Amino acid sequence: MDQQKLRMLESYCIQEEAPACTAACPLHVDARLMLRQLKENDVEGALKTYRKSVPLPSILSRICEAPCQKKCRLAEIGDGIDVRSMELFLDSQSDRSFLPTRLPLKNKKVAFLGSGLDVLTAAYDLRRKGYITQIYEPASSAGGFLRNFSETVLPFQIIDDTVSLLEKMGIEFHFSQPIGELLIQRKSDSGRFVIKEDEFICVYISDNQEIRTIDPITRMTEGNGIFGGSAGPEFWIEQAADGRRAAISMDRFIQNVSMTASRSDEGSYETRLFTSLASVSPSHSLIQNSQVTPDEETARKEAARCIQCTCMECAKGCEFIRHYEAYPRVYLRQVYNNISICTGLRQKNNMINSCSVCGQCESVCPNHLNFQDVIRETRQTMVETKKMPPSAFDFALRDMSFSNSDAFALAKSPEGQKVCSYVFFPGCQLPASNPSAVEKVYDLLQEKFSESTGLLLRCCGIIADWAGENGKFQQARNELLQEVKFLGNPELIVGCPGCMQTFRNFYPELKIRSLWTILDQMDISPKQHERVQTFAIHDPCGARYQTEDQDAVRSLAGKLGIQVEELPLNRDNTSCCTYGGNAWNANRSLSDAAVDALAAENCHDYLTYCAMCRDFFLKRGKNAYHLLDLFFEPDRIINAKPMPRPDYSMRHENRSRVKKHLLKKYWREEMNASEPYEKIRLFISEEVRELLEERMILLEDIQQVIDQTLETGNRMINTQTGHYLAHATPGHVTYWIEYLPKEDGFQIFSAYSHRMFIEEAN
Amino acid sequence: MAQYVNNDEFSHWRCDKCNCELELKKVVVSYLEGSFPVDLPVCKNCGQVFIPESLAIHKMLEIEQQMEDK
Repeated sequence: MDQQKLRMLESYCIQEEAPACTAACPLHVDARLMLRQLKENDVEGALKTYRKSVPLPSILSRICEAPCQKKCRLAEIGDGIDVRSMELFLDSQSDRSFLPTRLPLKNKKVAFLGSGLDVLTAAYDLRRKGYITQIYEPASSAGGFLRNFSETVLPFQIIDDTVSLLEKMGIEFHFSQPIGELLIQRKSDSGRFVIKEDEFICVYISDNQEIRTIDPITRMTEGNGIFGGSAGPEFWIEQAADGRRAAISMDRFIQNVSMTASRSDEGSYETRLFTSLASVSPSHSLIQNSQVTPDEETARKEAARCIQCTCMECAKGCEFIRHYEAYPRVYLRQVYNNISICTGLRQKNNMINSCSVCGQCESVCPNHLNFQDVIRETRQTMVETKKMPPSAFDFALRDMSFSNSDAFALAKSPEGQKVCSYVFFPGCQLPASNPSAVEKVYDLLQEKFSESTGLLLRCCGIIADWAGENGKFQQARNELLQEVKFLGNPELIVGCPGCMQTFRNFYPELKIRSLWTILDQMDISPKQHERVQTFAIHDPCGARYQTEDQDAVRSLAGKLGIQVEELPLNRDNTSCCTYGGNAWNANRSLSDAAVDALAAENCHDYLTYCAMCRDFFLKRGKNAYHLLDLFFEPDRIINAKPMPRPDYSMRHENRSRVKKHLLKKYWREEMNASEPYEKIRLFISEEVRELLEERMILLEDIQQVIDQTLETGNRMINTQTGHYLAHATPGHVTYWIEYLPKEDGFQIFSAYSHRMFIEEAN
Repeated sequence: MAQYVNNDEFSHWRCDKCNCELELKKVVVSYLEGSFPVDLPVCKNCGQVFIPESLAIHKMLEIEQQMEDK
């Protein structure tokens, strides 16, 4: 990802865009913040927020036309927030003699002709920037058309107080100066304007009829250095904003910098911020009369109606986005910085490796920002540059190696046939979760397709892609394609939504069909139960955008007599169980939190069609079924008997069992002999088994350590318990096993591991 | 030199092969591109190293993670 791509992607995430109220306000008052502060009883903070954007609060809080209220999102379903009344309240609480900070005076003078709202605003801004500011007004007092307001709306006293405050700031007023009689001359040498023997770098002429063409962006006339505006505006707040534009331009004119650069964010505009109103109830304004200053309680209650507009659509279903307390725009920058670091800690490695790359955020994003591919590519870069933490995905990759080893991998045409038209591909984790269901599906397919269905057991390779291991992914892909070719290029009947997605994305040459559509087309007589059986359906992330499969699964559930309830985010917007992206391997606490949040969305047992989703729910105590669990054991629909959840070691054992059983049943073949150490018998209590699961230590790891110890005799002995302690490093990890011989095997008391290498003497 | 193991963490362990007591001795441990000496209990005779469980699951894990993010 280069800088250009980063900025392009960042622009897709609109979370930092202004809320509709601020965008509508020509002065860009941060009403969202101001209302939150008011709601939280921080009147001083709210006042500070208001004053930050508004030059003359006592005047504008009384006469602003409040475009914010019209554009307030609440106005779409009820009343918009009466922000101006809140401002009126804040002004009533303020110290009206408060003088804003000003830069020290520089020896640069600007002049204003007229003293309407535009002039007062521009003069205020320029005095704060340190300019000597003089106002020439034909009338005997300042304010121009502001004095046309009734006393109830804008009392003269408010105008007079504001003017005296401006005078205290150092702005000089010259009253009773008929503008027509003011002789403005321009010096030919310096280009300065001379008014009454005083010299000015630029002038602002309010309501000058001779000014035909005022540039709407810069407020400069055709005369270089002459600025202006209209005194009788359609909207007062626009007039104040015109004054502010002019002040910015006059400052730039004097500094001799571009008058037009970076001005697109001035004035009111339509925001790009998306805010869903789906869960917002309509509410009505608590302000009865907006000309009367509300009391504090009313003001606070009205402020509390603000929904604090924000997008955060992607956070609604994603624990990852919530966990790091920001949003993709921030994460993109962090990812970019993390991979750009030359020396020092890469503090975002764990964040990068904790994403499920499931694509939910892209699906729900108003601009469909594809964040998952940024993460995938970043992980690839980390692997290529040898900056990928080895522990992040090691366990998952070892699981993939297991699936593609002789312990599970298999490619067979039906007995007696060299090739086949169809081949069943259950994926790796369905056989690991429910081996008997896989065997039953194969039986069923044999029946349906006249025994022309072969069997292909292995991993689709997605684990390697998720880990950023492109080389390993390509190797797995090539091996799978070789096997399919060997089987005569049959159509794959795929039992795993994740594999389906992988094939669609990375194996365009394969013919694939989902198991769900096949099962749904079978002649199944619909079942009815005495009571309505309701399950909440959870779509796996692999089924995103697969309407046909999503429909087939719901139809099948209906035929099984199941009534399904939908989760808040379902189908294309579904949440991942965190098996995706190997996130569970890199960040287990985040994975648990994600599953817990997802499990809490519906009180019914969950029905899903991905083995890992089911097992992740079961692991966190949420009863869940894979559709095949109920398809082959419909009694569970009624008795709600939970499925057994295999641990990591059992997941290996189950896979080998599927291979062994089916080889024997359909091909009358025995499985190749396993490794000698696998014959070592282990006795392990339930408690220790849980510890092994927690520490991701497999039975085969323990068997290898004991096997090695039996050979070398290297072990420690605990003089108190008599337990032995042996260690070995079969791969990249060193395992320590505390054990005692028992019967024809070994009882295991504890096990732990580390990745650091110890340089031992022997 | 770092010392992460106290005497009472290994005083009840012996090398079974040599039937020998353990003593703290300098051992080099390495991970990724870093290696450093640590005082660890080893068999006085054959040099077989003993890593207590608490060391492996706390300090060693912490250092591994720090080195992985370098």
